[in-house]
Amino acid sequence: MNLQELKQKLSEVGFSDEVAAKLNEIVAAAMAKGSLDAAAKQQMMDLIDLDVEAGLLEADTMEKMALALNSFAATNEKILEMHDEKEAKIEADVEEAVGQIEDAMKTPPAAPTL
Amino acid sequence: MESEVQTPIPTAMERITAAADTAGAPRAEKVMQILGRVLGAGEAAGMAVTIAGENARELQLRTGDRLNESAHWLENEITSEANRLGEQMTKLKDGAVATAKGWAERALKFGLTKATALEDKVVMVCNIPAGLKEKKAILETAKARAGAEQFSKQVVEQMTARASLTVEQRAILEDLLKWQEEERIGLEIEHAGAREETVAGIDEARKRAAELRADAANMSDKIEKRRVFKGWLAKMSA
Repeated sequence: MNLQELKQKLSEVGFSDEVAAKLNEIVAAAMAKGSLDAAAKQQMMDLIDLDVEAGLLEADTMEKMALALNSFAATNEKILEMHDEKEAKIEADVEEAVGQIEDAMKTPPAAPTL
Repeated sequence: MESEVQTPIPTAMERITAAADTAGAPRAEKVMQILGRVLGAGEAAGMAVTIAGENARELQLRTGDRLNESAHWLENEITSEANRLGEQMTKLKDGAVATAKGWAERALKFGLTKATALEDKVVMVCNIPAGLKEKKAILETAKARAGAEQFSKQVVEQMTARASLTVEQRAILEDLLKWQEEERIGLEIEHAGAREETVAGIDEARKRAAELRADAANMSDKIEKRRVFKGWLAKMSA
């Protein structure tokens, strides 16, 4: 790969803006000189490592955040489910008690014994 | 007549209506309908219908309380979960920011002057979605109001228990009752639709999580491309 090709590839990678600018600067200087010296190459490698590291931190933070939000959503769903169960129990209890009261109301009161 | 001041006990229907508002659920309305089958009928006929020591009116009161308790339980659980999420995010943010600061120090040595950009990015990622923040604030306000309501109730009960109230005490009690009523109305408004708010919060959290997952995948793709580029660079002869 020559410097021209390297410059072309560089624009396609998607480095962060500041790192991309620095890398382009180094490649442009190398093109002007006609070659990429070892120091410049090492500088580019270090910059790429830094950008990879930054990307990893961003991606990791986003993954953890997504996990926390999904867990929050799942727990809240469980809470709503438990709430539904509580209210279903209240409804069942009331239904049963009301049924008993209704039955009692249908039964004529016992005649007083004399 | 001052000694005849009585604690205004909310009627059973008020309690159940409040519970229905709180839960925002058709379930509470259904319970009211079931109770409606016996309420009034027995009393109108002057009957004291007693089943296992509990008459229909007592059942109604107790049911209203149970529905209210259930609604408050829901509110407390959701508030506590929102707090837990907040703490989790703060911890995540603190860790990420510390790592970003360490990175920034090294980046500066390579002439990257916008080194704090990474810190800003992770802080942004760790922000609680705006919609969830609003819901948390609503729930916290409702909880604070519930505490105030409870306090007011206790004061009124204590004062009433003393049987003989002075004019001044009565005025204080009336003020408290008025305030309590305002609080109760406020509480009902705050509570209204708590369930719908929670469902909306779940949707909001899932939506944001999906966005973050997509962004993380996109970033992973970029990282891979950076590594491949580094491989090409390494093979270039200096």
